[in-house]
Amino acid sequence: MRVLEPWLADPLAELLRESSARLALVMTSSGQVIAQHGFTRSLDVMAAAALGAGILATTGELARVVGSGRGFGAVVHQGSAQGVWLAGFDTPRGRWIGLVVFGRESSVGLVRMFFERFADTVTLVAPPVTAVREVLAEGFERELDASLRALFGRS
Amino acid sequence: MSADPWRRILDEVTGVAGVRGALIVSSEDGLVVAEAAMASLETADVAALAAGLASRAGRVARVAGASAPTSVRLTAERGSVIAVAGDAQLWLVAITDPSAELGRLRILLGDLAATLG
Amino acid sequence: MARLAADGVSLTVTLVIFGPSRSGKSSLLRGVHDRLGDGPGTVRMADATPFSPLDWLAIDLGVIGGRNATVHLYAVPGLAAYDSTRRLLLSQADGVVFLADSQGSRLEANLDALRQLQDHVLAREGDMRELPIVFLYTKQDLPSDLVLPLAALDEALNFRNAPSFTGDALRGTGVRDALQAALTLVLRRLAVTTEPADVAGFGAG
Repeated sequence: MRVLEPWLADPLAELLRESSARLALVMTSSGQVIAQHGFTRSLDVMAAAALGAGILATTGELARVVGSGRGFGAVVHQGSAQGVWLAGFDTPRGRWIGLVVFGRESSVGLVRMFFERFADTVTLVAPPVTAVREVLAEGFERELDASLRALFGRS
Repeated sequence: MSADPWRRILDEVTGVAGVRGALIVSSEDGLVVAEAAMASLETADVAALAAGLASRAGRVARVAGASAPTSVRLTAERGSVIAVAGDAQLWLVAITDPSAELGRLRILLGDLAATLG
Repeated sequence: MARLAADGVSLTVTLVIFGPSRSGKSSLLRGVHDRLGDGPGTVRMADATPFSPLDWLAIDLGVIGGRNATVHLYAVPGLAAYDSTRRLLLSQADGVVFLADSQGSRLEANLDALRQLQDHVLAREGDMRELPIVFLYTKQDLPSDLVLPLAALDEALNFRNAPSFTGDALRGTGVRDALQAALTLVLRRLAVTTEPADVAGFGAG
């Protein structure tokens, strides 16, 4: 498991355990991964998160077109061997997205049920954001220049 | 099978004394296909968990060398859940309070589940 | 929004490549990816698919200002159908690289895209005057009678005298300079903030 915010660990573990899903990602609306748990070595996590965020954004437009003004709560992609559940949920930290991959040992119904509980738990237990002091050290422009020169200079 | 026969099935089940709700559940998805239940019942959750239970029971049966389960019954202090397999991956599920006559209900569910699909 | 992780070490910055259709947004990302290569942990990329219109590129910048910095670059097609995706991305973006097509015949398309950007920012209760933005004018290599000079493009589009560059999205010229300028603008804003509400970026979203 990898979590950027330690308080997410227990709710995420419970989601995977109770739903018998294979892996779960939590990300911001723009696809930045906040937490991951499960067989995450089996896929490119960052790509999956970015694509998942894009899919939800696209279906939001579809919802608008078909007159479902509030959007679709969740999107399910069902394959022959496994499925993917994608849903957005509001948290004190902003709009987040959950991506859950599940196989035959689970089901859409179970994932839905425990994902909703996960979302409710996150809303309840998210600690307030603490103040941040000194966001960046001095000299960052020099370091940025050096980094980009090194990156673009090699090829 | 269309929605009307499902409605008749559900009405027959909920007509039994002690039954708080009846569901037709897709075993693969754990989703409610049709339902008739008291407002206090979280039917979507029951469907998901009942399907999950049936799936686990099936795995136990396979490991034990038995055939696929045709029914699953969960009895607790404040009621029971009985799920009976029909055709086309549909299960008929009844949720009861402690007063329900489970034996009679089980037979009824078996007869009705056979007409699903 | 620029995300500072709870570990206090990791920093993620989001830049959106914005512009009219066929201005070279996808080509720019592909060009950067090809130039930087697939070094371990350095670059990740996803191409747009029928199910997700995003082109996305993540670059590990290493340690910047005491933070392990990563920049996420996103490009969305300029077609009207992806308007909600663009809106969503901009609500999370820290800065914008506006890719403008230098051809005179595409000036109106550039202006439309700029108006759309402004609408999205306003919809999120943001202020265009505070948006970290740089302009990259592409296709300057076309015959001179087809393209507008840099000064004319700045006059028409660069209402804030933001950093502007000419470049080639395919070959990559000007791209590093534009990215560096955009990142510098974003990081300068971060460097002077002390409260998380400011770290959220130019919009309220």
